[in-house]
Amino acid sequence: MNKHCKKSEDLSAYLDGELDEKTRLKFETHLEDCSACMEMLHDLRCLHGCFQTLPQQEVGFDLAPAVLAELGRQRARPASLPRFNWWRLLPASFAAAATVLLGVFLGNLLTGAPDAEVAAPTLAMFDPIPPGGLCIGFAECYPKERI
Amino acid sequence: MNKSEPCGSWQQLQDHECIALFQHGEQDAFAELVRRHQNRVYRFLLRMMGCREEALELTQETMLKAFRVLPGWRPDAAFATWLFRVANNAAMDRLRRKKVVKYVPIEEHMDFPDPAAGPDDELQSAQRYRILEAALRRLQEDYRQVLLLREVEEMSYAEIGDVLGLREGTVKSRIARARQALLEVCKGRI
Repeated sequence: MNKHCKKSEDLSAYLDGELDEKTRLKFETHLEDCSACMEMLHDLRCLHGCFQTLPQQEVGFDLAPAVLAELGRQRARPASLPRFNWWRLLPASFAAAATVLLGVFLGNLLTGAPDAEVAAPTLAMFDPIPPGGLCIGFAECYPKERI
Repeated sequence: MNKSEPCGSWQQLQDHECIALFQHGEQDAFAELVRRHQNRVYRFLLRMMGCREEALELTQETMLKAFRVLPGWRPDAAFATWLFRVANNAAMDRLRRKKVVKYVPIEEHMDFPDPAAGPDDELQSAQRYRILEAALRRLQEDYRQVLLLREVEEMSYAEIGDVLGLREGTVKSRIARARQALLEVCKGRI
């Protein structure tokens, strides 16, 4: 505030009436001898006067109904959906897994024998000579690749 | 602090009486509190934000917060002081989010209205307040806060400390520095 006086804080507080009695009296004594502080006090009073000229802007309408309406809107909003609790599915998941495992086990039990080799007569139907056909010669009946 | 603005039959009641009635379910008492304080809160926010729409939005936000807090309100602090605290926090949060909390050096070249432009007193007065408004906008936010609360709202240092969460000694020195900065900015213009 004042480059030449260290009492700037007191000067500001003095202007605002925020000094205690003892400090105020002491400062007033200082003020009588300090032209720099007197000048600064004058400037601060001008500044204060200027603040008083600031326009008093207003909202321009009654805000209360708008606030109450906003509160009503906020209350009317549906509450957020409750979070799905995946743990509730745990017993059903175990039951499903156990059923599948049991099915696989039983299936294995019933068809558990290893696959037997396909018997020769079964393959006979794939012979080049149809059943009941006559075989002209040994070699005709049994082609080389099949021997 | 008690700059009540009259409104209907509720105007006789003090803030704490309105609060007590609201706590007993009287919504009109809350409406009265809003009407009573809306312009002061709005003016403060307007000068902090520099934008009417944002000031209105934050004023409404402040009142909504009051509605939620008042049912459990204890009269430890003055309601108006508490409102200003909420409004100030809302403004600072918004400014921080917008990243416009800036500290402009006071030596920076200023684009002020020409104080010699108006011949009448009225025009001169209008010029002066425009210069002051422009200078306030150039001040860093913590200086602007204390000056608005002190010079416009005429709060005591204790009340300002309550609003800003500062000790009285800090308020005292900050106001002194803010005035110094403002005088530097406005030097010879007002």
